[in-house]
Amino acid sequence: MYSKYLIRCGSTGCENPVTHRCGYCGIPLCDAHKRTLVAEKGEEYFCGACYAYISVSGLGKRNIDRHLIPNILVVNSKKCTGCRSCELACSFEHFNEFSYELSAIRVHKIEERARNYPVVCLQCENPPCVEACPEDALVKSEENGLVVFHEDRCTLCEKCIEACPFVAIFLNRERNRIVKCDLCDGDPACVKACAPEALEWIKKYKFGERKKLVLNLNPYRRKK
Amino acid sequence: MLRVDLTKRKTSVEELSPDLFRDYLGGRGINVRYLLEELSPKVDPYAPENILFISAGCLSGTIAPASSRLTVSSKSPETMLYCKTTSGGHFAPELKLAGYDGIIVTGAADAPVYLSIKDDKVEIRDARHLWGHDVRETDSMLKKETGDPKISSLCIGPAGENLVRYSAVMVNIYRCASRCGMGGVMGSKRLKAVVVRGTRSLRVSNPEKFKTIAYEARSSLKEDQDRWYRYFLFGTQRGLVWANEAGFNPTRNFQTGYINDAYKVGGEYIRERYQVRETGCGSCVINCGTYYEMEESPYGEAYSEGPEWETCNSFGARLGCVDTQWLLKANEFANINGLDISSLGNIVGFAMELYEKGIITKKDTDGLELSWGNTRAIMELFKKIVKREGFGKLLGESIITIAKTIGKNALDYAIHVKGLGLTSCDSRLTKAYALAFAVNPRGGDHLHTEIICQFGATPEHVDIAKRVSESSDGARPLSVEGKAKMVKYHEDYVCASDSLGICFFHSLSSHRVTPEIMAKLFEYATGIPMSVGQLEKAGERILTMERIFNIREGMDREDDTLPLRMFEEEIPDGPSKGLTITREELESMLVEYYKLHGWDAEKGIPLKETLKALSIESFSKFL
Repeated sequence: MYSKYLIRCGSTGCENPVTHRCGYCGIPLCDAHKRTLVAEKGEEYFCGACYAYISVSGLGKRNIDRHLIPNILVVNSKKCTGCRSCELACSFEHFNEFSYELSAIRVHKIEERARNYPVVCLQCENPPCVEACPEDALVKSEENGLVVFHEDRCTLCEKCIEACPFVAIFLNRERNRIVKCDLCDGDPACVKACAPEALEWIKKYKFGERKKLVLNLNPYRRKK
Repeated sequence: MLRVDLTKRKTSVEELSPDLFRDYLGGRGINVRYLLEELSPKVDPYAPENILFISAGCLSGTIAPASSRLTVSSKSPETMLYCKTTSGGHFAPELKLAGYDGIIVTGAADAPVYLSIKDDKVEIRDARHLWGHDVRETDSMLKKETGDPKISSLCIGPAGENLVRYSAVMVNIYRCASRCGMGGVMGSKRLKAVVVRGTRSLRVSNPEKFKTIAYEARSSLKEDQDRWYRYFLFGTQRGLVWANEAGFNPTRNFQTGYINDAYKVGGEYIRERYQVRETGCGSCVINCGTYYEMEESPYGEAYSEGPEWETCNSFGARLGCVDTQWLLKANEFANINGLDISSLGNIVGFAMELYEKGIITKKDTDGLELSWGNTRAIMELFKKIVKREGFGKLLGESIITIAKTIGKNALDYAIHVKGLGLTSCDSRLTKAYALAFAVNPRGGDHLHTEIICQFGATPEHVDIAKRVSESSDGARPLSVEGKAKMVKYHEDYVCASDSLGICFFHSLSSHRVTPEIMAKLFEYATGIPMSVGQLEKAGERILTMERIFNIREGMDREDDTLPLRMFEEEIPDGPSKGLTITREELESMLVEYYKLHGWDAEKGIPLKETLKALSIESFSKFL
């Protein structure tokens, strides 16, 4: 049922034998679904959702030199309590209305196990959505690395939604429009609304600092 | 407002006038107003004539701090009086975003049904295949059936189906509107679940100002890290060890206030070993929820949200157990079967004391050895209660019925007010709670007035306590001075806070979302002018109407009292040794309290002038 959201997340909806476990959340993964990152201590495997967070957060080798974005939104799904304040804050900031369906950040919840996965556009390096868009409505900005959405050019072909590996571009059927994160011009409303600090806005980050921030989780966390 | 008639299987929508919101604010207020108007007096709570109200707070679905409280109201099968019980979770915001302020459920279906709401589309569907399944299974079956994993569900477990008189309504699986047996009311209507998904949007009348005020309130709570960060880390149960050291951790059915090794059922210990996640309700800032996973234990695997303060005490000291693993298993069991943990702990503790005193024997208990701390036997008993088998059939009733059926002097050991078991705070130590428990319209419960400032934990709280009680003894829990004023202040604003949908942890307990902020939030959200005075008056109006409801059901001043044990027995040992509350102390507080409310001091009935001042004269016919 959740395969729609945890699209690369291993065993959900996938029948292949499990060969690895996600190095971040521990979900079992098959060969086809694992995502590989080359870290300092060798290869590590992650599920799609965790891969998304970790790869932009600077854990992966490939980001060290190449990352263009000076400021970055970090999502730590382990800290997320699932209060969904970020969703309401996002729609209020952009539309002056409260709605979960008008929000560019969505929290996918597995209520039974109290797991919450905030999903938001990660402003990818080589955005598949930009490649997929036939109308140039999505453009990767040279200046600040943002993936900018131009509503006037959009024809609602939904190709970007299919292309996004993280399902982080949303379609509001009632208004017939695409909703996509624009990082609120450098002052994200979701971060302001996030009480447990699962969302963080980091300015001019350096690789080392970032790594510490992401790994240094709650000191009281359960140790295995 | 969505009206659902289960007998005819019809639904309709009716508009609410802005005047209603001005006078009753929302959720809890509107519920009691409808309840007084539509419910005929003295109906059986389990009869189809009883009406169930499920309402979202007025500010639910917005970014206002923790504005996600849901109020469930009806006539209680446990106390036979008024009942309101609130829950967090995501049901209230979803309901608001689907375009409804609340649901009124009347009649009873002939076969199990569930209600599915997606914006305009409201359906009453067959739920025969869901009947008998526990809360977790029901929720995942509903998600599969509707094909939408983002729905919010509200359902009952097997306890509610079997009409246990203290069964809970479970919201989003682990959140619950537990007290007073609302699950039983749903069970009697054969309404297994309500699922809701809202895809619309909600506008406020003054977005700019609303944004400023809401964010200010949120950041002031966030800055109050000293206190609230601990709630985030450990949950409400973090205070349990402290309460034990202060001697008001009710132990062995309130026989004493101290138990050895209480740390094992405290928040810190559980966090270190079993806690995996922190959780929060919609729009929350504090996020006091916790979630644990226990892989191996003598009792098997367990995972659930909680345990909270009430659980840690009800399944811990109150039953004489300090077994963490058992606590976690029992918490999961109560959650997925939809039981009210406080009442369950209270009633089982009561049965265990009767067993200790020799009033009941193994013959009555189906051979179960109900000695303090006998975890295996207690678990067996829990299972019997859910299924209503053998001894569990009797224990599934309310505490007064149980005591009367057992006879002898069993009633002397029942710890209850108006038929509802006391929550985990010994009222012999805290005089403000003693009064609050005695006058609470739904019975002995702290959620009527959470008077945390009486403990004077911070200089800020001392100031508030002194200001509110108009006495230098305000922040001293043992003094009765000014406590009636404190109770009145808190209950008025708790009524307002509940009606707005704001969790009182944020409002009256932390004093960060002050009445001024609440009034402004309401004004900017609805466009109806609101001052602090009007807000207080609305709170008072709601409370007075709850009182009128109870008086109509036959409650009198004699019911505003405490359990016998509180008056007659001093705490025998521990740090709080020798403390007690006298009848005179309670009486003096009660008289002051009635006068403050403008009620008759001798009968406890609202005076005509008071009703007129609150502009609810039309309800005087019920007195």
